[in-house]
Amino acid sequence: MTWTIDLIAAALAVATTLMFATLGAIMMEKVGMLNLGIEGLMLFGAISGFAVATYTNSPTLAILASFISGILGGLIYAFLSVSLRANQVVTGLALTFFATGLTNFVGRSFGGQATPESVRDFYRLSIPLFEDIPILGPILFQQDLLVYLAIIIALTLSFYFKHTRVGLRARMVGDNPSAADAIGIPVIKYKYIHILIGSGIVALSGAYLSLIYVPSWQENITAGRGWIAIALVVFVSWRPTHVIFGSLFFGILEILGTRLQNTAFSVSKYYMDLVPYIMTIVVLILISYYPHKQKAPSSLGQSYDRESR
Amino acid sequence: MKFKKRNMQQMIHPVLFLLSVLMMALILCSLILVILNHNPFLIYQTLIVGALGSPYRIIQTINQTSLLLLAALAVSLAFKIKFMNIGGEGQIMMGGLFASFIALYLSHLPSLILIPLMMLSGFIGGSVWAMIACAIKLKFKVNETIVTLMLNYIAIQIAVILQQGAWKDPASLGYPKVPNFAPQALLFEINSLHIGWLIAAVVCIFVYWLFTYSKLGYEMSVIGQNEITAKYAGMNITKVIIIVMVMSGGISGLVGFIQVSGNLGTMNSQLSANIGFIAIMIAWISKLKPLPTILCAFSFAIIQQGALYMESSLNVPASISLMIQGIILFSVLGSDIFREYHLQFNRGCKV
Repeated sequence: MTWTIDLIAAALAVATTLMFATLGAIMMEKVGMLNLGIEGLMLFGAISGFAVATYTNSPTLAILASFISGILGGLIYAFLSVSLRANQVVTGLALTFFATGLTNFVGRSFGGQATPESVRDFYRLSIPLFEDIPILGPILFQQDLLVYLAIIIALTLSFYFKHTRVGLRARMVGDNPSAADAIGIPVIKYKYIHILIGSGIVALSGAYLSLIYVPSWQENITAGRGWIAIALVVFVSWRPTHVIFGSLFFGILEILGTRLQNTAFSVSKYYMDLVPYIMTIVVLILISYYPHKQKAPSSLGQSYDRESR
Repeated sequence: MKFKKRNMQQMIHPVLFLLSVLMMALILCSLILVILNHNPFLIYQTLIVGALGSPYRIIQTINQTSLLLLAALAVSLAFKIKFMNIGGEGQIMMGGLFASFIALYLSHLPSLILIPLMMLSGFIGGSVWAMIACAIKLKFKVNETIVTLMLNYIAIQIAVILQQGAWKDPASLGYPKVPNFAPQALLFEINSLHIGWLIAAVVCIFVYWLFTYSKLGYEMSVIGQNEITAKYAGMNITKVIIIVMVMSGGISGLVGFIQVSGNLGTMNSQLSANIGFIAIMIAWISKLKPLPTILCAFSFAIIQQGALYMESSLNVPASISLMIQGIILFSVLGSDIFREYHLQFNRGCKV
């Protein structure tokens, strides 16, 4: 029993990283922007959060810096792919590689340092009384602040895209930008705002890695999680609330692989690591059977050119 | 402020255009290096010295050029028909795996039979992997970008599983490593330069011929520009997509083959080394044209090899090459629109 509780609590930490990255990605994809630069944005968030934490010892400033670095990274992507109509896939890849190079370069001076403890402990949150509840206590009430923040963002985004006027318009921009433009929705502005805020959220995922999960700066600290986030977007078919469960599931897979290694069921960790990728392809195929329930924004990946509508 | 189409007199000469884009990339890059407190001239100089400073380094750079060139040509084929194949990594890995399979299990054959067999097997490995994405796209109308991306990681994971399990060298004392190939399985060498460049050159000429003179190449460009036109013209789109993807995946597979047989002499799970992704950058910068691709692959190889050298001589991380390549691509991506459009500033009234 403790084994299971421990497992879920550990998986939730992995899940939090995935949650931020996936929610940010969903926000961009809802307005039709397929961003393969998620991995790069996470790296930006990780290094700037870590750098600011080391220099200022301030947890709030660290998170803020990471969010802003995400916005700046998103600005490069938005400017190229929205304003200058460059291919989204290639722009995203360029962003990831640029970020990998830049962060390794800048991060060399931080190698081996740990995140200051005052910053690390700030996020640790135990709610008195509640944390002593058996089973639920350790899972729900002994997590860090950012776990709750991720869940709040998920719920907010879900409400935003389903029930608010602006959110519904944003979905229209993603589904049919020409029609949205025709009824007077400022398409470019919508795309920019969603890309920038989405990128900021993605960057928080990097900050979670370098401030809490690892906690230090390492080269390629994201270890491919940005790509898993892109898979998760498909896996949960663009629904923000499902991201919570989807990322928990992927998190459990990751942790389970490592933990089963020395037990009676020695399923190799390497087989477990295959599962998310295969399942994503399977989900893609399955949703293709229900075109009327299609959740993918219709204009995903296409740049919007007012002239050719 | 808005974009306005250029008329014939306002068109910029392509060479002049490219030069100004590269100039911009150079300025941007120097600017970032200065901000990071490095001397850009020293960095550029070290890059060149590191890539071309000695016969050994020149050989390394040529080897890297062949790999990048082949992978970029593979991407160009797919992108020409608007198949966003970002699965180069996986196809390279599969090519490497299939070639290694032959090398490990048929190592008693003489090299004149073994090498061609490995090459064929590498080609098949890459095209099988591309065919999976292609079949899923054609059968279920699923976006190929995400499928090929996922297939990359599946391929790499399969390589990890083989390296840790079935193919682990018993002589390596527990260290997960695939045994070194028998000498017959190593690619032929002329003056200590293996013939990878020759394979790349042949493929490059073939792709040039395909794009410029063949019927298939013509059909590819029509399909790439407008699938509906292609359909009305009576072209068999499905057939063209399948043929092109077999070639594209196969050529990526050859990269894997050259990597295991020529460069590593064994298989490991890092053999694709981002080549599949960097190939996308190269293909995009050279506008899917084979001849500029050679130049671009060569310059990227110089940046990569130079950066490896810089890691040891200046203690600058080798991944600086990724940053420079990223900046070049940003500049190209950002400038593309100015080929056909120019900015017009509105005065007074707002539209």
